[in-house]
Amino acid sequence: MTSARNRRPLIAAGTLLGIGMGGFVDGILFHQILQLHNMLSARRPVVNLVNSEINMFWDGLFHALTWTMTALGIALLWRAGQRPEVPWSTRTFLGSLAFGWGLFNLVEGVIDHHLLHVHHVVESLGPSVWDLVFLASGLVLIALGGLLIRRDRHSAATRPGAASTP
Amino acid sequence: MMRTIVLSGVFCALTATFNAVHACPVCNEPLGQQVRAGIFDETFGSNLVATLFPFAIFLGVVAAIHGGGKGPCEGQDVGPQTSPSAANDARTSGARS
Repeated sequence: MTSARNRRPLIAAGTLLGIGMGGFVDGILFHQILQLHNMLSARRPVVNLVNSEINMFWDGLFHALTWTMTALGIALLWRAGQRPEVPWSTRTFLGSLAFGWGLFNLVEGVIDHHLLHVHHVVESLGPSVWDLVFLASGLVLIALGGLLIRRDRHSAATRPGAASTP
Repeated sequence: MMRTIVLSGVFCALTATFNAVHACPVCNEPLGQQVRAGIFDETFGSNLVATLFPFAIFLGVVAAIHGGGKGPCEGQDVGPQTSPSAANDARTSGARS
């Protein structure tokens, strides 16, 4: 007897949490601790208090959205934990986290750094190799996450009580 | 005499920090008004789109993952139980997980 299993809820939850983790690393480490850039630092250079406060507002909105992604991820993870057909796999979850983090770096990097030019990784340098390093880190994390998820596709088992099929 | 010097020092320190700059968006001060004007200027819409756009894509990707059709994420049960709920079940029933 075998049970239908579905990893999608776990992958979706892990991806959202990975996006949140990536966003918070960007916001906390790059925006606040290292102060390499801010949300609109290419449009509003942080050269005076007013521009600093304006960037603080947009950084806050960015953090609020990142928090929302994390909250949604927790909600999806909670629901996935209640579904017996969803395998509770550490490898799949870690892969999803890496995939989400990479997705954040890639999408945020392409849109904000390269298409809209609202900021760059090291604002004092403008467009620089660090923007490409950021994109590359996204690709590496996506590849790593995808590999972990794919390798786990046969080994992740369902839990007892899952709907069974003959 | 010493006490007067210490008190004077404290007073000077308090005085120096008293003139805090109120530049928050809701502060009704000249700097606060500049901040408000800088946020809600003609670029507000494009700045909002720039901030929201990546997150809209994230939600779209996650929705596609969550609601996608049958693929490599689905299949047949092939291995042993590893979930925390199963471990709890096993603990409560006294069985080994």
